[in-house]
Amino acid sequence: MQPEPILRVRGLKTEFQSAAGVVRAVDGLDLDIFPGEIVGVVGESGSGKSAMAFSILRLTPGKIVAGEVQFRGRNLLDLSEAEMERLRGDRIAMIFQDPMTSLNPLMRIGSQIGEALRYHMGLSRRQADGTAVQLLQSVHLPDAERRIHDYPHQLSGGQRQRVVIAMGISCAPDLLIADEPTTALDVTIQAQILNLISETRQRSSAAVLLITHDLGVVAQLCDRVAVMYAGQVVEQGPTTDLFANPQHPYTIGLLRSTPHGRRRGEPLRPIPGQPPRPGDIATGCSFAPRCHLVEERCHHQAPALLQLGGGRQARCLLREESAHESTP
Amino acid sequence: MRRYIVQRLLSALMVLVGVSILVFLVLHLTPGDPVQIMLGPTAKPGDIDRLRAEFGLDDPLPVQYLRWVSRALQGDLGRSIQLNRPVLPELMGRFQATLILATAAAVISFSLGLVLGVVSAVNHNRLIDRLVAGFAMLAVSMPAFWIGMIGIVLFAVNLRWLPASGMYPPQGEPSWGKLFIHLLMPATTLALVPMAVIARFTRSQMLEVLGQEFVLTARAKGVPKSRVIFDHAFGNTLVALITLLGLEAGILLAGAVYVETVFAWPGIGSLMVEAILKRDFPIVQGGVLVIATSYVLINLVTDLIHAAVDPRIRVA
Repeated sequence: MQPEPILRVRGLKTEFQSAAGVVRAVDGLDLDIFPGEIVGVVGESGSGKSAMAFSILRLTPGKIVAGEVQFRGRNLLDLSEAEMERLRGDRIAMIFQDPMTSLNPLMRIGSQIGEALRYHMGLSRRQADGTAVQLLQSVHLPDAERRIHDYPHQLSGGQRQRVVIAMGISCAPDLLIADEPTTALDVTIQAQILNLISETRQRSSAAVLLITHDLGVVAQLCDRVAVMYAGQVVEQGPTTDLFANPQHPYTIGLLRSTPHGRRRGEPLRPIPGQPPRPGDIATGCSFAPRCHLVEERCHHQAPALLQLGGGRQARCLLREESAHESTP
Repeated sequence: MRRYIVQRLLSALMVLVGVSILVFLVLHLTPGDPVQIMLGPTAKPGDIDRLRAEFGLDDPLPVQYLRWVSRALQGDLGRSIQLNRPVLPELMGRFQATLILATAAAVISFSLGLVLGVVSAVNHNRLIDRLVAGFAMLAVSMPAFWIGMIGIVLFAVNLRWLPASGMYPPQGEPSWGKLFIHLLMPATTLALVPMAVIARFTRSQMLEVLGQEFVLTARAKGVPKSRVIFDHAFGNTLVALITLLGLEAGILLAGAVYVETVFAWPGIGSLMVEAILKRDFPIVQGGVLVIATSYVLINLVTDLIHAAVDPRIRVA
């Protein structure tokens, strides 16, 4: 018997108004996250990963037009803005991509870490400072007592990202959304920050939704992985299973195009073509124009997310037979 | 921070030295020998030379400059030709009136400009944003002297709500209340253009700041939107606007000339206009020096405020 997911996203659709018309960045997204696990979300740029994250927190500049986001049994899309504010930073926290821009340059880092503590836990400024020191120590920032008085420009990129993580975990959230937390950092710092995220998860038992385009990071860190394409989850499952035996042609292509998924001596094979622009309206499977296994029906019939057993799901017509076989 | 202040003070001092040299040279480069003018066309060459020596006009220019500067530092800027009174007290009395006018205009334009700009940015592309944009366009497009005249016709001549000119009524004791009533129209007229400029810049700057990631970070921490605007966005907007505000403060001092002329405000601007028309050079010279000095001081204060609010500048 599987535990209840802490986050259950169903049929989420988010649209943006642009000069070219309505753009649907998230297009019927389904996703489950269970307590304490790290779920990786991978996909190319523009596949809707960040739009999904911001939609969950209801901070997207676009418009959420359909779907539900169940968090601990409540649909976040039904909450008032004030209720969302109580939830943000407290039960669901978010870490951003670029530590250079995600801190307020005019505010001491202690105050920035303390902000969530003061809003959600009602701590005084002094109490919040004390907790900020402990948090900075827990993310291994040396000299924390002195550092809380520093401004962001006095810290390096890696140090700032530690501060951002300390901010994210300050109220011990149930879910931490990390939007490409290592993309803007040096490779050596990347490894340290990833270790820190995994360490944080173990200590606080928060579930982590890790958005990345680095399959290596997913393999190293994530319990489960969801592959996004054109605003939808096209495949998800336990990381090791999914990497060893990808079911969706897009996942297969993605793995072949990176050194991690290739057999020794085999050349890297990029996926031909471009992802559809979010404004394009596709009938049928959105990956069909680039798919190496494409059939005639793929262009007309939109595939559903099929249960493949073993916690695996894929959104591909070609897997319908195996889906039926696995659940006779 | 202390080193930064010392640096800025030194560079302000350098600018002032440069200004004083320019002002001094302007007098000496203008055609015409003052002694010749004083003694008239029938003067004997011997008398001219004697008077030149008496005034020290035969000394080398650097010596004359130093003498002029040391006198200026002691408050002696010479005598006005027209009024036959010392220049400095005359200037200071008039400068005070200008300062009152410019300060009132600064209070109006800075506060309203910032508020309108923030309101516009927060209500981006809604009706109120468009209304403010239209109002700002109108304010910038109409010259201050014209608005001043319309104001006089409307509020002073037709409605008789406000006095048409001057700083105090011609009769009776001056008081704060009377000053306030007289100040209302000129200060508002002077404030209109800077207010519109500040509102537009505040709007665009605020929009840029609101699009930055740290604003999202604050929202993701659960900080309510109104608090994000005040605690995070407004400070960053203001830092970017300090330089503009300093410039506008200088423009208010200089731009007071038109408004003072229209409203017969007894400020340094209208004094300068009179002095230029009557070729009263000591007044013009002293006036330029006073206005330039206040410009330099405003710039200095602007930079120091900038450093005080923005931690990134202090280390630079």
